[in-house]
Amino acid sequence: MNNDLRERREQRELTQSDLASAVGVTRQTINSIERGRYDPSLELAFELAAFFDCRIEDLFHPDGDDGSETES
Amino acid sequence: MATDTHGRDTESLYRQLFVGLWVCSGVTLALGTTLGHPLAGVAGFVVCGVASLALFRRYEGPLFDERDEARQAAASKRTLGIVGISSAVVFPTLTALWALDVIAWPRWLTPVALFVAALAFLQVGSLMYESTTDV
Repeated sequence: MNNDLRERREQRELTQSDLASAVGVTRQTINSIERGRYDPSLELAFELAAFFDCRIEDLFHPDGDDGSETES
Repeated sequence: MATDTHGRDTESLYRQLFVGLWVCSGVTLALGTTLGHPLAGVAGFVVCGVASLALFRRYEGPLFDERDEARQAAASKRTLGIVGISSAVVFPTLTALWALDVIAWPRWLTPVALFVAALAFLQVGSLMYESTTDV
């Protein structure tokens, strides 16, 4: 699963710790998601989407999909 | 780019300390017991355990989360699989060899066999419990 988490976080000038605190997980989990090493639970995906005020499919894309056509 | 050195250092340090304290508690208990000081071993176990829990409570924010649970689940699944496959091969083989008088049944293996059997029953019981809690 690919994602735009890092880009969106950096746009808001947030650290991984800031984002982790906001959605209630560890910094290491945010780091792992950004690096594509961990796919979050549906619950966390919703949390992240709500935080960035977007849809889950705007944030996460299946492998091979860059998500360029999903933003609403 | 936003930097994150402090949060990274603190979280990693707390996580490593937490795990280290639990390892220390287990080692202390094992050493105390095998060296003939069981009460000292238990005391060390409790002290390290309480220290790790205090550390857990002191940390602001989650120290472990869903990713750790996923890792734990994967590790447990692998462990059970290894134990299951090993016991499915080892115990029938040893039993057959013992029945054929090829080997003498090692006495120390009996509690191991009983433990593996208890583990298997526990796993089946947990599975049945999970199936009853499905919505």
